[in-house]
Amino acid sequence: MGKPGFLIKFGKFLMAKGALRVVIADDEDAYFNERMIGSAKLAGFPGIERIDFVTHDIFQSWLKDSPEIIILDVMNVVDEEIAKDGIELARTLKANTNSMLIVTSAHEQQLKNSLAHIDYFIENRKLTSSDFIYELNKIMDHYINVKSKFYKNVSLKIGMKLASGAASA
Amino acid sequence: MADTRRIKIRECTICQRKVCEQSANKVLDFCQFGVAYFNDDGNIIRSRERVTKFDIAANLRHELNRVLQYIINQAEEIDPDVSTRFINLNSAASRLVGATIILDQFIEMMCGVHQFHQIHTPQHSNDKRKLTDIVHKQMEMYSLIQNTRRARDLNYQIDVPRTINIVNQASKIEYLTAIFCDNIWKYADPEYPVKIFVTKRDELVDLSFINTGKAIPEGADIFVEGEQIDRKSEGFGYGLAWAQVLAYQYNDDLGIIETGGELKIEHEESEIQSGKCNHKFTIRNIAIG
Repeated sequence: MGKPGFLIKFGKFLMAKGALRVVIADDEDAYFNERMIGSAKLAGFPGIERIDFVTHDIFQSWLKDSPEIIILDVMNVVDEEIAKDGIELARTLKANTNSMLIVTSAHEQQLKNSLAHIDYFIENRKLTSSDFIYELNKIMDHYINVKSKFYKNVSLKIGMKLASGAASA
Repeated sequence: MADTRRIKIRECTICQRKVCEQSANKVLDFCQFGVAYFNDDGNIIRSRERVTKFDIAANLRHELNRVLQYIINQAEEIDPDVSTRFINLNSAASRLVGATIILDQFIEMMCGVHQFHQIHTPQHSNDKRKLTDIVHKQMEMYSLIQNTRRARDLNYQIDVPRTINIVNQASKIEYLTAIFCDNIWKYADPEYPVKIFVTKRDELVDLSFINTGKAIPEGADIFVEGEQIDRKSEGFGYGLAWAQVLAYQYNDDLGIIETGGELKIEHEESEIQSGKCNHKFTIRNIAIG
């Protein structure tokens, strides 16, 4: 991925305005660590929150006001009364929120047959801050692209109508 | 006394291909996933270890993964711009990351194909890569391992256009590339140039690796597990067998039937002088996007 395109810049703009939140839930301190989050903030992604466990309170708050993007680890990341693992949590959130759901795992096997309700997955590759920002750019590009599809289609239809109207006149 | 180390499997869901069901009558064998099977007049009796090597390897890797990530985090303390996507041989931090990735690859190899490579690449994932980046990274990474048996300062040329993207199962293609790059550093004669290039056909490419090295003795099958051509060399006869497993799994995962268009590994050898040959390994039919 070269220089950030318009969609990524727009995503960063929304984040800066507090209109786009990314929450990462992972029980291991080594992954998505403070340095990565700090570097991402410096790179223009200020709205990133890092938690290590999804409690009842957090889950309920997500149902009421869901973050736009949620990145979930698979194991030991959620209260078992809510979901048995990150994949089941993603399934529940997919059905009840508009969040983009991303799953990350060191074990591809854990993701087998579980991809229907996952919007994006971060494969087992080890990440540095630079890699994390690279991933965030791709995720943002994908998120804004999907979310803006409706508006693009409406604009296209209006444009076509105006053009055909002008032609017939 | 019953053998408590093994358990019987009634419905085996470990693989799709069911080699066990095609086995000859009264034959006892093991499949590549470690399941023992016996064809008793069409009734397939299967059993596996209670705690399989697969279980041990998977859990071991889970433990090791955080250690590897920790090493990478420490490398980042040295150089904040370091990345796992590219290796810069001039940076100590990047070399540290490269060595960590090599470790990770060996651990995955030990865990086996069934732990890490069974899924289709979803439409949106980070498992999409530029083939040229993969090849450059692997060649540079495996140059980090140096000893008297490996080549040093190879003159190699990589001719893979940046337009070629691997959009499915890139992790397997990366592993395959790693095996052939490592083999080049293990077996190439540094007196001769090395060439890595692609041949493109519609939505498929062939990735070829040419180097000059010792001739393979007649009758030796380098793809058979444990086959060592030169006992003094670095190899222990597993890499090419592993490559075959990866190719098999790539086709299986993508539902590619073996009718000629499947991913396969080929080797051609041509003698250039007595005892010295050009070796061409090709990963044929890599799907690109």
